Amino acid sequence: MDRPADSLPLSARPPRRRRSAVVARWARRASVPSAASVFFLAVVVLIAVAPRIATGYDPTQIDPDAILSAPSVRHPFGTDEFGRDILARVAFGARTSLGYAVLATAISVTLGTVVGVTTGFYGGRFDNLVMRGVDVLMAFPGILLALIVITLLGPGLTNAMIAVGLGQAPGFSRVVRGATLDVKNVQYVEAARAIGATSHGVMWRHIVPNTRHVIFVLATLGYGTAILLGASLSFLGLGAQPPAAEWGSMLETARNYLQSNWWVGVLPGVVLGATLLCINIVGDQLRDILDPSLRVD
Amino acid sequence: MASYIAYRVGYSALVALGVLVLVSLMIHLVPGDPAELMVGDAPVSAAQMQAIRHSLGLDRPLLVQLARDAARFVRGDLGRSLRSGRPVSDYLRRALPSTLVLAAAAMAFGVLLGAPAGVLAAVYRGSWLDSVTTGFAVVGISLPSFWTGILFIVLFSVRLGWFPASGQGGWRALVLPAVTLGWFPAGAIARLLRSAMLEVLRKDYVGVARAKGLREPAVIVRHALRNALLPTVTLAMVQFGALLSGAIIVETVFGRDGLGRLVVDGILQRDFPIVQGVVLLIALMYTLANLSSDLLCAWIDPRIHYR
Repeated sequence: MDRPADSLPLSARPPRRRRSAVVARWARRASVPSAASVFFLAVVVLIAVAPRIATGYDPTQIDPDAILSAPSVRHPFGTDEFGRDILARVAFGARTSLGYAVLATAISVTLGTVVGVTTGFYGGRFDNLVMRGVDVLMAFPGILLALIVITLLGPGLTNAMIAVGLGQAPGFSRVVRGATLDVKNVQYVEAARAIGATSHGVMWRHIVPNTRHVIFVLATLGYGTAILLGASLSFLGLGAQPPAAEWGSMLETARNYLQSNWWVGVLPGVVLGATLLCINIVGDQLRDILDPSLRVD
Repeated sequence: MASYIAYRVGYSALVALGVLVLVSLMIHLVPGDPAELMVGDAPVSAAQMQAIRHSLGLDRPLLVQLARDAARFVRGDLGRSLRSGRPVSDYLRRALPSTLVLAAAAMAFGVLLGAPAGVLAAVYRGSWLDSVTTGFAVVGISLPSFWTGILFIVLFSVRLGWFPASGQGGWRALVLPAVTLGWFPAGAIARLLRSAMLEVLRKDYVGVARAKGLREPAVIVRHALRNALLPTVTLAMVQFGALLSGAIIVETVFGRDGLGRLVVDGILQRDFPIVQGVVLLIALMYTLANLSSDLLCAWIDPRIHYR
């Protein structure tokens, strides 16, 4: 059988930019802060994947002889009110916070991409209807949607992260829809249609790959927000439940020991703050390189 | 202009209606029996269970419930607390002023710090002032408010004793919560205004203003800043809505009464009508803030409503 589409000399595939080119552009333009951020994040991710390399202690192991001991060689970050090693709890907390935020980001990116690409591609009444729904969902700022879900399903990090993912999806879909509108009338899309590609094929093989830089930047910045919201909910006592190690809930318990034992709250907070800061710096830089038009500020 | 206002107001009313329906629908979106979810492990007799189901309207067809709930919300009847039996609107009325005062103070801090910082950073682009401002802005946006709140308490109330650690009473008690909450809008406004100013300062009319001999402050304030303000006004209004949701966390850190305290206690006690009421109130105020920002922008920049 002849294969009409593939045998044509005219390729409807978009030209692919080599991955190394993006990396090279990043390296050329990376400032000292963003290079340092990438390094710090690499360390945090490594510790999240393998917390044992950072500590020999168990995060829930109680030691009555070492309650609230100050940072020392044995316990570099000190110990908490149960004598648990704070460094171990920060390391295992990285796994909790970073891991659960992946769940939220996966939900928001998947939903945002599907809704954004289809509404932008099909347009018309379907687009109109869905986007009005998106407007309604965007009337709930910050953690509001998550609060409703947690009231109904009960506290817990999984529920919280599903709620955070759903809460971020409307904003994502709006941006992806804009990017879809930009590429949908470009010539290679027209060419793909001319050689008989289905709507589904055009969206999957041409539109999604050509909006992926937008999706990637959204995912990076959204990931930072998901970590922040997850920690905030845990701080309110609505996310991770004790004795699980999680950054937000560690800071919640630390509130009671601030006057006398500063290390209980300050050191985990520094790690959380630095992680969020680095994600924002890297996300900003990625946005500037991949798509300066996304700059909202 | 009148038709633009009518369109925006009408559209916001539609969004508000959607919010009402969604909030009434939420209780039905979860798997399982909402009444049982709310009661949790508490020992409840079958008769009490029936009473709860009846008070929530769960014993009627879904569409009837939705229509009834939406109509009830429009009338301002938000139901009664499952714990105390008192109307939710009473709770909201008592909690709202405190949260509004906090959000307004935070916004004032954000504008007073963020706007001059953004302008100066743009005017002295590339200088140390620019680096410091940009650095502070990223830090302000990134740090979680519950952690900065804790640090402020340690530093300014425990160590220095300048301000009380609890957020209740007098203006002195308002300072730390307002600064904690206002840090984010300050950073966001500084960043946005900086890039808007940088764009405007390149425009021809700024060159003309300089060429005709105006002094630099006049060029910056009267010619550049006025044109760079538009996106900042939008951001500030939208931020104000977001501050209401941010206040939930800051109020908890400082033990301050308000919507945040109310909603967190409501969740922990599984008092769904209270949570519903707070969420509805914040979502509607946020919609209103967005509407005012659109109208304000159209008033500042007449080009918008001709589009």
